Amino acid sequence: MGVRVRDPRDRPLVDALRRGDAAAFDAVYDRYRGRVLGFLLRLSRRRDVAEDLFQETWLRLARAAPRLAEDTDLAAWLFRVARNAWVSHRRWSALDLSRLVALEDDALPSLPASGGEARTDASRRVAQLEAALASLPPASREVLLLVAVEGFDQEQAAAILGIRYAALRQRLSRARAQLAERLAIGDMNEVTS
Amino acid sequence: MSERLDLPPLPPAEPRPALDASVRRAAHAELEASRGPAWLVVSRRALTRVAVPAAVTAVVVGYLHWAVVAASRLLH
Repeated sequence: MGVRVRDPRDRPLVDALRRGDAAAFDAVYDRYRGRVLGFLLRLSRRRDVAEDLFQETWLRLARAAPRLAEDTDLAAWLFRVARNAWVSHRRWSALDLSRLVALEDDALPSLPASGGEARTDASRRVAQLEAALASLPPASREVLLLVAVEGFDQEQAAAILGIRYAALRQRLSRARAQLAERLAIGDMNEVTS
Repeated sequence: MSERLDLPPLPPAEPRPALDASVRRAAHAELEASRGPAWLVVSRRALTRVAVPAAVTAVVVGYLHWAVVAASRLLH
């Protein structure tokens, strides 16, 4: 299951990356760094972990650059590597008691606000969504982040997660229901508070 | 059937300047190392990822072996 180029702007960048062009790396980095870091922050819910995984993701791109296929979909490639790095991190964390304890009481790291200081309806809705996403199980969170937040289509998301399309649809459907439930609870709390 | 959800867009997260600089510096070094003929790249990687760690391990093991032997001689 491969991820192939969708954004035509990626093609010349992939060609330049394959030649080891540092300027092409910077262009890719500037285009995707915010999305990749946001994805990792929401996935891991810890800034220190997200930053380590972020660095690892970009180093992997630099190392793999000469071997990239000509039609590589850079966005999907980066998100797949970032997600796999997170999965590896979770496996190792399970063996490390101190990290496990830290995961128990982790808090959602401060993510950038979408508006100004004023607590508008839109920013409140974003905050509710961030909190609802953070409360979902990891498997649901990652699928929603890819499809609903990052805008990958379902085939791309299935390729990134390394699962079949049918399995992705099932997981997405479950995740949507869980998110809707969390958001409804959030709305109810707000009304009653 | 579209499965796109009606969610407000969530903002991206910008890396701290120090992290940003560190990523660029390390990535540029990797890209630089991956330039050149394939045999040179492979040799360089073999040297830094296999030969040097193997040499360090051999030195450490050798030292520990010497230390154990020397300590047991002293005891006897």
